[in-house]
Amino acid sequence: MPAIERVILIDDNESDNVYHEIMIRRSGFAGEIVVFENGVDGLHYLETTDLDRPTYIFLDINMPMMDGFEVAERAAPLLENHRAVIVVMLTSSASPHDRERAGKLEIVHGFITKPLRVDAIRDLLDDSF
Amino acid sequence: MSVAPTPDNEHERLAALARFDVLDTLPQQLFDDITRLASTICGTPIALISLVDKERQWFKSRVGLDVQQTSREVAFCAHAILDPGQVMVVEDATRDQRFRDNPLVLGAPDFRFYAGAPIVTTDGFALGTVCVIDREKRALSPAQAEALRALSRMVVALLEHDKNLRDESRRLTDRARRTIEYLQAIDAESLDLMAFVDRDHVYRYVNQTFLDYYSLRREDVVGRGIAEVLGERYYREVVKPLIDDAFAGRATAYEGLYDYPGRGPTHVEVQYLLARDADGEIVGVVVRAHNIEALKQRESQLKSVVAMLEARTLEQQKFIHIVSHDLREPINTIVNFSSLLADDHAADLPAPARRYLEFVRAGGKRMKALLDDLLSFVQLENYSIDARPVDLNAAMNLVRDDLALAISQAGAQVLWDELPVVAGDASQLRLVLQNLVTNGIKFARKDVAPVVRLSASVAGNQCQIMVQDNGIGIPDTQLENIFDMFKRLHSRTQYDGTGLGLSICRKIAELHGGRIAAASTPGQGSCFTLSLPIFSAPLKELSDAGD
Repeated sequence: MPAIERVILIDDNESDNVYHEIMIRRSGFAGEIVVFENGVDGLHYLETTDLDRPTYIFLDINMPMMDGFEVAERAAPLLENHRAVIVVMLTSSASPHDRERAGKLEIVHGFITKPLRVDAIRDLLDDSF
Repeated sequence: MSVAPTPDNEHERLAALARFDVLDTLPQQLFDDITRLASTICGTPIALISLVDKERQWFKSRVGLDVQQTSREVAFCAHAILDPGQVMVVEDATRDQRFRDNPLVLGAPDFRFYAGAPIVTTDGFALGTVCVIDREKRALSPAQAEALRALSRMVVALLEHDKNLRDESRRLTDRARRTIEYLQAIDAESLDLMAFVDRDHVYRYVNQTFLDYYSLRREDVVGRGIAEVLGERYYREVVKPLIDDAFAGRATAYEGLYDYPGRGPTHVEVQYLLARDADGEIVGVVVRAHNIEALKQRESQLKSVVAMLEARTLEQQKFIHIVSHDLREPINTIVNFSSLLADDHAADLPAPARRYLEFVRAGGKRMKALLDDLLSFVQLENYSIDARPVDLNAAMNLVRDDLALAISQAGAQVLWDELPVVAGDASQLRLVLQNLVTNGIKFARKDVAPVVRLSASVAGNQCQIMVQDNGIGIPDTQLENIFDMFKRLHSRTQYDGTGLGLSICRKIAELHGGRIAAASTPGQGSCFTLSLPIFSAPLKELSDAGD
């Protein structure tokens, strides 16, 4: 798999987005980082962008209006034939129930408890080569 | 005429006679046989069984004489009983001082000859005689006298036999009557409706409670068919099948809500029980309806209380879950950015600011740990273990990796002997071991490098995992409550912690059907013992492994 060119953060928590962006940069990632504070904007972006660019999406579960699971379900048909886009769920607490639910979604590749840490990001990005 | 004197024991004699209860009874074949025998043996036209009452003599049996009784004054027998041991013989009454002017001799029936053998009870009372009488004078041979005596003994035997039979049947009757009285008393006080139904489905007995509930009178029920009492349709559709079942030997019991006319809607437990007589013959069915209204009410109260408690518990858990979840986000922010600030900009800050920042960071971290523990504790409520084999050696390897930083900072050693494979949830058991090892490292004595050692013993299908440390130990007085929630024995500056770690350990042990206990020698160390079920491979797997 080619190197990741883009990271998309979908999280309603602004401070988490800021922090995660800093951590992603510190892990050595130099590509594009796109941030959305709700699922609707994130989905809209996915509908219009090039989905064949190697991309990592960090998707927060606990969001108002449309939670991460719903975003993932709606994104599924868009991403069906675009293996270059990888979705990882982010959560502030790893409840077994959430973990189970995430495991059932085919397009979800992983499940990470916040905050993202430099080593974890490095592992993820490296693994995708 | 000379009237016979009364015997000395007349009073008792009359009492004895009364006890036999024979006076004025109907003729009986056996007594009549005796008089006929007496008449035949002695060759006299008349033979009597005469019983001497207070004022009269009464004939239990008679041959050749029409009267049923005579006055005692004229009775030959009244003389005969004066000497109970003797057969009194009067060969010719006209020549006997005692009888020659007796009206029975002077005129009809013109008695001349009399022989009477006293009827003497086993306790010695002469009640009367077996006597033979002729209108001609005659003599009695010794053999005839002996025969009369024998016949009088037979009369005694017969009287006593009758008396015993009567006494026995009276006793039985009395007992039966008392039993009925007891049963009726029990019945009257019973909360149960009772009915006895015979093979024709006719009520033979119902108790007062039954009548009260149905608002019926006894005569409306007893002797009438169930269909007539409860209605044809109800009988056909409900009662009859159950009674048929009961007669077929299938005892039935069920609960139902019935609207009794005299009582209103009532929950009852109804039983149909087969009734047999002493010979085991089926005679009917006992229908018993037990009022369980109070029980039902308590049951529904209990149910609503349980439902309320469940709802409340669920509410609480949901609340804790939401709170801890929502609190985590701001806490994460505090921890993340205070760490970032401390790591990147500490050099730019004056010394007091650096110190304050450190407080913020430490406080945030502690709150985060507290929330983590709180959440895992709450998640353990409502958790049921899906038991799988867990190799505790592998679990310890992971624990050591996770705690690598703390171990190296404390200069600690974590060692374990060969540990068993237990049945349980791997991540939970890892959490227990991690908490126990963390405690062993954390509660170290000053200047003593912590050593935490795990060992195991197996007994049957249970094993015990001992986690021994060389730390400060726990005072005896505290050993009992260290597993309670939020129990902390030390200030935070001494030893950090949430006070939930051991509560979680206990919860997990209990979820596994195990236990956790602590022992300690203060100043030398503590030992936690975790009891868990051993994983025993199903037989099938073992045999597969052998193939």
